[in-house]
Amino acid sequence: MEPALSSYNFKFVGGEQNVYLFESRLACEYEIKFKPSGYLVSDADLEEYIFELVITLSINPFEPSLPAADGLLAPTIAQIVADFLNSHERVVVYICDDSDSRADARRKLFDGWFRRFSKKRYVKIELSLGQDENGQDFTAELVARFDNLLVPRIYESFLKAISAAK
Amino acid sequence: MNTEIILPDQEELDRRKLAFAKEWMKRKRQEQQQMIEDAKTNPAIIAAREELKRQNKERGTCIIKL
Repeated sequence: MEPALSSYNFKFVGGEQNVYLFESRLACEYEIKFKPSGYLVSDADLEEYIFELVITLSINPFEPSLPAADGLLAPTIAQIVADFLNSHERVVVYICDDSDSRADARRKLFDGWFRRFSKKRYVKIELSLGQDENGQDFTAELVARFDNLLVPRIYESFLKAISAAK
Repeated sequence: MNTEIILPDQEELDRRKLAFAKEWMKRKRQEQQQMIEDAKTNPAIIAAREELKRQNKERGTCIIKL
């Protein structure tokens, strides 16, 4: 039997960087923003469609420790991404590293949630960006609505921007 | 007129990808620090937090069923 689908209540704050907020049952506050990031593509006409997702634990009552793992974070983030992608031509991109195992676990949770509940409506493209001298892996992910016809162009343009890096 | 496009080799592409990732991650970390600061000082975020807390208190939970 599928577990009941739940998430945290969230609020859209708005602003140029499209900020959202939510509070967990452990009284931790998370801020999520979708930052306009035209520099991530090489074509000027696509700049307005690409947004970087940044997630932060902005208020942590457990400092200096991290809060316990929370199974509602992934579905809440997925709901917020879905809300932002209501404007169908937008593409969300984010970068992850494996610098802490908690970050990796969050990503796996998000990926699992995405596969189970969102894959019919959204596309997600993963791109490995390599490993640094400390053995840390970097991955970029692009998420967009399935009906977004700009995705192939944006992906190509994103690859070009990366290839042009110095 | 013949034009020849010279593409960087794979090793050079890998180096550029990694350089791009490192710079991007550095910017993301700075952004996250700024967000922690904004949570304490930005009036729009503070007002939204109060409104969210009020809603959750009124509903008796911070969880919603999808």
